[in-house]
Amino acid sequence: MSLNDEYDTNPLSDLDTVDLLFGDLIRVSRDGECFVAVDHLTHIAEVGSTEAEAVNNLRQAIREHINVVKNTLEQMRDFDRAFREDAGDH
Amino acid sequence: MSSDLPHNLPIQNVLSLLGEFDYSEVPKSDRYIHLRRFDDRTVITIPNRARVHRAVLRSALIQGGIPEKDFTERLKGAISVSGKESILAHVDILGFKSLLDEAKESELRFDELLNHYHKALRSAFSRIKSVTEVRHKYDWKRISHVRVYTDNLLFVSELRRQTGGESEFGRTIDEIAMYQLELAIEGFFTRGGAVIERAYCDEVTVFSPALMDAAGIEKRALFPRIILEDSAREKLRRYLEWYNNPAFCHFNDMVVIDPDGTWFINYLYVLRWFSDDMMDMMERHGEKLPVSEGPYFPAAISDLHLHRDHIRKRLAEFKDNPAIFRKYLWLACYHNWFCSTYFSEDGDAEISDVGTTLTFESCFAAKSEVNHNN
Repeated sequence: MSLNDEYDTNPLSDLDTVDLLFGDLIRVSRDGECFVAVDHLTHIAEVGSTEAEAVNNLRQAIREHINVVKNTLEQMRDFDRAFREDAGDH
Repeated sequence: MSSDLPHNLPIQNVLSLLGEFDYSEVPKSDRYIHLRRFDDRTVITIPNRARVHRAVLRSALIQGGIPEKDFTERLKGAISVSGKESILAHVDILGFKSLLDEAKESELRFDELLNHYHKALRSAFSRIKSVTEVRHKYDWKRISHVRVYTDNLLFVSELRRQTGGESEFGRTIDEIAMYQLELAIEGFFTRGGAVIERAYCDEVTVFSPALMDAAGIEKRALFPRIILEDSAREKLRRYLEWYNNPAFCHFNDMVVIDPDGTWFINYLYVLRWFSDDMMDMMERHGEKLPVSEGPYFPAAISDLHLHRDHIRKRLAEFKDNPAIFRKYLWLACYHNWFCSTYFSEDGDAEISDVGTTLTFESCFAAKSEVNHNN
């Protein structure tokens, strides 16, 4: 599933989109032996043994997170639609 | 950013604790776990690893809108806990039973007494509770709790090993003094004691051998005062050893010794402390009080006068009951000693016609009695 708007004429890959949208909001810090990357928009955090690994892991996590949020919203919309139709029938 | 969360936690513990906040797993990928509430669009995403790093855990709590304090309290049920050397103080209100007896008289009297008591207790308790909560928030691992049951109040504060626990000990003494003062100026006088003992306390559990003797502590206090039991007194003596000059020792004024040898908290000193702070602040800002107000801050003086009036009223009320009268007589002596020592320029604060005087001395005077062999 793509993160892009379905009407976008110039689609980017999911990870490119994450970079574009979240790149400026990611902060990396060191915590003992590992690096911690945090996205200050979604508040998701990931760790890695290097700075690059932490950021890369975080990009993956954000992508998965957005997919789940989208699925959740779709499920809620479907449920709401079915409920209204059901209520309309009666 | 400093963290109160453990460095890492097993994933199963994290999932089960998040479950207590109604978050359950949605079908997951191998790499990530997603959790959501049944009727909420909020999604928590964490990596699917055996242990969850502190930063990831904190991020999960923020994503889910779960206060860190609430989570850490639940965490205590999921990880093993242990008792720590703590200062415990048990405080109760003098004459609470007769207050309840009086409340039985009529519905009107019941509500009247309830509202008076409720207002006084709420104000005193909320002040110390907020201090304790802040302390707890910034170091959740450390035990720091306060409980109220009827007229009983229990403070538990863990003593840090690294610093010998002096600051926790001092803060607890200060908090008890503030609690005592708040209630006293509303006409409720307290008694109790402080001990040093191994203890554990959280939102559901209070566990310490010291609790077995709570009633005994109150009896030993005898008068409306919070005494330092042997263990607390010995601890304080150790701290006093660290000071050469009483001017730099906070305990010098906060704990005083009765002529009967009992060490107790000089709760009225909070008023002098407050007055000095306010006067210093006014001086810094170039404000001046009218000369007629004297060298003390007016609110401190009016609280001291309220304290005086409550004692006067009790002395008159119990003049035919020697057992209770004796308690308020002691309190009147303490009040007068305090006024002559700390508010000597306010000629109106003392209680006249007490007929006797007591002279208390600072705990610093007992410094030389420390047993160096111990």
